[in-house]
Amino acid sequence: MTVSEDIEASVHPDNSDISATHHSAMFSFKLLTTSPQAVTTGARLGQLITRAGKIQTPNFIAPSSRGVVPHLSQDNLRDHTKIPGVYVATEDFIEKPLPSIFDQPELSQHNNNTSDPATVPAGRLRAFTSHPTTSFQLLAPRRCPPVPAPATNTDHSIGILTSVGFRTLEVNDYHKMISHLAPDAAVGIVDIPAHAPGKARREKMVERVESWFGALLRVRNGSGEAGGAGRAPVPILAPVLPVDAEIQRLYFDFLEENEEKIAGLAVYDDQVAMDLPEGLQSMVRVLMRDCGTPQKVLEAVERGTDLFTAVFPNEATDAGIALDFCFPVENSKTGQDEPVYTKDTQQVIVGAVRKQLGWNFWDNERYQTDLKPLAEGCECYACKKHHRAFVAHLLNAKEMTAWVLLQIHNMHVVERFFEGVRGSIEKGTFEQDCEVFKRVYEDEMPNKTGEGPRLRGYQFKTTAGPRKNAKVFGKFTRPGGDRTEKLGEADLPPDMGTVKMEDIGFAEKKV
Amino acid sequence: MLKTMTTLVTDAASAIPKMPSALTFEIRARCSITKARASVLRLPHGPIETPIFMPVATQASLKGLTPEQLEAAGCRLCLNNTYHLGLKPGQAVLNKVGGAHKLQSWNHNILTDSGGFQMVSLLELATVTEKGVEFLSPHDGTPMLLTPEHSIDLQHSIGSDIIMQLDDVIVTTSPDDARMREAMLRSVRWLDRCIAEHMKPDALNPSATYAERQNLFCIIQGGLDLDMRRECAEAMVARDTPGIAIGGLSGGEEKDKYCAVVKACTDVLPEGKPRYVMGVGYPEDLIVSIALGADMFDCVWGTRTARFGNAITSGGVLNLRNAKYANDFGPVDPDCNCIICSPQDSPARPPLNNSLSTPSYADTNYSAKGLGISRAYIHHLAAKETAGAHLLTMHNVAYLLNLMNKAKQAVIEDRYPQFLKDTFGKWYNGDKEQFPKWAVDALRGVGVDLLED
Repeated sequence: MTVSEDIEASVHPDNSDISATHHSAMFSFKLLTTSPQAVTTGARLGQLITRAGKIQTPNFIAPSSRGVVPHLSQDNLRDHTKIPGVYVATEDFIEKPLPSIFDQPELSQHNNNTSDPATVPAGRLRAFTSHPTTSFQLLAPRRCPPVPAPATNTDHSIGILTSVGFRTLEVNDYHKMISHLAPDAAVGIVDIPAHAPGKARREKMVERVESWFGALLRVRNGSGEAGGAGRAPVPILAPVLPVDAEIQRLYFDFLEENEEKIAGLAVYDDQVAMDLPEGLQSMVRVLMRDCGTPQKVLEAVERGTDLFTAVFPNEATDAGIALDFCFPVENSKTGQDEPVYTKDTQQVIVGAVRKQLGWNFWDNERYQTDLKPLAEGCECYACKKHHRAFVAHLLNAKEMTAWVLLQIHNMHVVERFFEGVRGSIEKGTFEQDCEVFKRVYEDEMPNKTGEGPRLRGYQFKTTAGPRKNAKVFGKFTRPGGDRTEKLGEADLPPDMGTVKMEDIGFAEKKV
Repeated sequence: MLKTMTTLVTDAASAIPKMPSALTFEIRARCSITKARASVLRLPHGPIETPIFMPVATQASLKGLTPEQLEAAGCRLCLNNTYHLGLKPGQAVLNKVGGAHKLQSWNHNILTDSGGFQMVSLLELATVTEKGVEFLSPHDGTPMLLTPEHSIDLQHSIGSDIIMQLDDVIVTTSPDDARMREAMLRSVRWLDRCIAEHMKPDALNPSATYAERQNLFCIIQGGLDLDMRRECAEAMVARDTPGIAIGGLSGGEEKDKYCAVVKACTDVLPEGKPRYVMGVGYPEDLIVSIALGADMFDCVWGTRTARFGNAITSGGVLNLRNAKYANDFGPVDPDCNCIICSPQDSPARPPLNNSLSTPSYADTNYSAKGLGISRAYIHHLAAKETAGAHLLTMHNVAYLLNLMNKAKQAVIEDRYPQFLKDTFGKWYNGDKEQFPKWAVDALRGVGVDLLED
């Protein structure tokens, strides 16, 4: 059975009459204003309306893994973050011949007990993942960033990675999944080779994407197959490839012709987006690659990016780094670690050390008795209820709660950062604020010295490269049996020297 | 032998100062048939109701959960392990931070073990002498020592509400009776040393002793030998600790022998003190042990098994990694009202019981509203994303706390025997043939026939 047959077989005819709100109410984008400095900066303010609520832009969505934002159970996501949405990869759900998500009732009693189907976003993807009702879900074929797949893309399929290994995804199957899973919006499939393409390959990319996207639009607006009878079709973002705009010219023309059928643009390189034709300019631009640092985010905002898929906050979390930056730069709260800045934020004291973008909590010695919040003045749950000493201890003990607290904090910092960006654009001070930010803060994230959480699962697979998890300290066991299993939570023997053991008061030297 | 015991008992009466208690234990109801009791135990960080299950937050966190998620499950008393906290963050840090409550922002009760059990179990080269537990530093082989005094001192730094004596733990299945007896007698002697250490002036409040803010529990040893257990219990009861633990069990002994030990101990223990069976256990162990007169339990099984995708439910333990749950879109346990099993965004459930102090999240964004997680979704996440483990851990903890609360309610309403029958019936889907023989036998011993209708 092919995947497409599976989908046909698993569609429940009795669910097909579920109605949804009108397309325009389900997804629309309005540019509120371009910056008063529009002549020199492309930064723009907008409002994206989705089934799951309004998103003020510029803003970000968090990449999810198997439907969850890493480290965050749904209650923490719902109650302790304001992440407006998440990026969901199809390849996370289709490892089985008959993916269970296909059988998910669209409106499960269990998941949507109290909801009114007319007002609450529905769909199998949301029901299956129990995703918070006020958070937007954007479906795409592959994870962000995708693990390079060895299979070369063909005219009708791309290589993907599922939890059980590499395989191919038929373009038509993905199109059927979009309508079957009914996410709040979906990205058209792209052909991006693992290695830098030559000229002929770049042309091939554009050719395929145009043909695939055309097929998606036909399916969506044709026989009603994709939308299902009576259902509003899923809003679709058209991919903009990371190749010169010139090569994509014909494809852009095609998009302009179909402008009313397209909900927005999934941009793989924001440089290219600067050369978009007039007719596509006002569409929401979702950046599909990570920027890595807030400075790079600011540059992308300047080039007119509206929504970011931000990978770097999660990377910081995994590395044990608590982010600590704000935009626009505030007149600094003084602290031992931080140099002082003058009232006039334009004038950083000459010779002062630039601020770090975050703090590496693997540096255990430094924080182990520090009862200050992760970042001073921060209002997130982790900072209001906990302190540096706890996070440093949890990391040192490799307890999962460390990454939960860091993730809550880091998401909060990035939420505040985008709030600041919007405020700054509105005030017309964005350009100056960017300049100050770049002068005040380090260009790069702090060094990642920690091991991070144990990386499990397919999503960390690489075709080559160093092992992801360091070998753990060897257990001190007698031949014939490892008794640690019986003890469950119990950890390894003291992973430290004798002097240290005495020092911290664990035990004394026998005399 | 008897002479030794008499000496030990007399010693207690004469030499050991009377230790204050920092708890009150009020029995509210007794089962008219079994030995089950329901009580309110008031501890320095607030009251709890027994019977109680205490989740194990080994290194100051419960495997990926925030303190408020633990509170939302109804927990107000959890464990930390002295061995682990002694290593990380270490005593010096604990002293500077101000103890384990401050470290983990947990304003409810904590119980710590002595650290001896982990040391003996984990360090292959550990040996026990009269001085304490000796072991070789795994890094350079230097001989190291954990004494009863040092264990108590560590637990003072942790600041836990209930602390445990250092005991000489050997596996109950050990065939060496002489060694078992030595361990039992040594545990009594070590209790005296622990009490002496615990009666020292409190570093934070030198006009008082530690005993005024922390409760030292003794631990009855004696393997599977009931006479030895009774003897040990008598000597320890004479020391008049605020609570009493039964130790050395849950080490793979036969279940009927386990039950015999618990019953033999509770038979001779004073009514007015909480009884804690260490390291237990499975849901069946819990409700049988309650019938045998035990009040408090701890075990890592429920939270560890969650990380392997096993859900504890009213219909038994389900391995949600099994393919048959891939398309099961119902709640993890339809009879459960925990945050995981309740429909999405349904209101936070009422507190588990009236004694529970206000959760710390009352003034935060945390809503404790339902999440509507399905078995299929746990299956999808199990062993692939840690959030899946967090979710199932929350459920399993809530299930065990709920089970204890239902047991307590049944005792109060004097229908504990019926509660036992109903609960076993559901776990085994009404098939009495499947009921474990040890449970049937043990419950017969306290007047309940599980097999009768």
